[in-house]
Amino acid sequence: MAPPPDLTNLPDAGVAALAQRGREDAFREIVRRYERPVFSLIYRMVRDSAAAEDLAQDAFIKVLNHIDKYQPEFKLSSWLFKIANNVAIDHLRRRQLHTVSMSGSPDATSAEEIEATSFELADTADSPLDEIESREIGSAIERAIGKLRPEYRSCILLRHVEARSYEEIAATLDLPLGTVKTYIHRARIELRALLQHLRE
Amino acid sequence: MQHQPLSPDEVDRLLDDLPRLAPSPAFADRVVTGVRAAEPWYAPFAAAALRLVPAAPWLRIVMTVTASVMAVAATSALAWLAFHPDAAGDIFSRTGKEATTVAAGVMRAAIEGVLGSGAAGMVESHGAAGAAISIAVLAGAACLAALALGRLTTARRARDLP
Repeated sequence: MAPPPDLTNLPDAGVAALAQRGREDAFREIVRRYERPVFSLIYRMVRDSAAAEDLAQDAFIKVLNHIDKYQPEFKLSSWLFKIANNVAIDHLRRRQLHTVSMSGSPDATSAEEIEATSFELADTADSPLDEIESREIGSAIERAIGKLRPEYRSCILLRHVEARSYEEIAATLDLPLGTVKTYIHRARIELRALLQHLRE
Repeated sequence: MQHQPLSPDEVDRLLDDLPRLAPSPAFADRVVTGVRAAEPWYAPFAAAALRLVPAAPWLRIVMTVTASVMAVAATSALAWLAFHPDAAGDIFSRTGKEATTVAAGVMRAAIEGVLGSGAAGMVESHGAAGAAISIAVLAGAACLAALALGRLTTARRARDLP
């Protein structure tokens, strides 16, 4: 019997094909590849790490439970982002969140909840001063993104954090190409206005 | 102090520098636990058939013998009918008449239930044409209902498909 292939070197379509056969290691590989991008997108949409984790879990489970419908001519990541965006938008519709905080959900009422809903940036700065400055700027941009309309948020995050093309964003979010370009343009204008306090 | 807006390049740089955030370490385990194992289309049928197989060995033997006898009897009966077409025609003719009578009764009950006894009487008085029209109307209504339900279901599912 041939040894199982090293999944880390397989393209997404190959891993998805193995997942279609019910291979648990293929499920894990898909999660390993996309847990950070999907969680980041959802977190920045809903601004609550506990909810983001639950929603990211829902998104992965939805995709993996319907992996038999996946067609290799489409990008697996685009499908994942589509589902992730849908679950985040549904969550926002159910519960409107307006305020952004890197140090916890605005709805947190206790120290435990604040800790549970806060997150740490993966990158760290070189010195304490750099770290404070970096956190301040990072916090400002995160806060500013959180003030954008959810549709602008999805577009700008997919464009800049996930480096997706306009066409991919349009396909992922089921939006016309022109709408995606408009959303990103308007999001940048709004972000410039929201971040003007950084230039003193 | 008058604040100057950031340049578009500066905003782009800030956005490009946004880090990816990580979920908790047990995230993958929770996802995999929640995923139903993908199974081939026949798996539920095979599982249902397996549930019918008794645990006791002697019951399995009885079941195997009964199934074998029934299979042999059915095959023999079909073979006999194939070599005795006159008898087969007689059997199917009688069965066909009885089936037609039953079907007419069911149809009348359905029309009475949906359109009332007056409509059922009218259909009967118009014979085959009336029956055809009423079947068409009933089938049309059923198709429209199924179509509407299907559209709703498809629209909901399509949102999550690749």
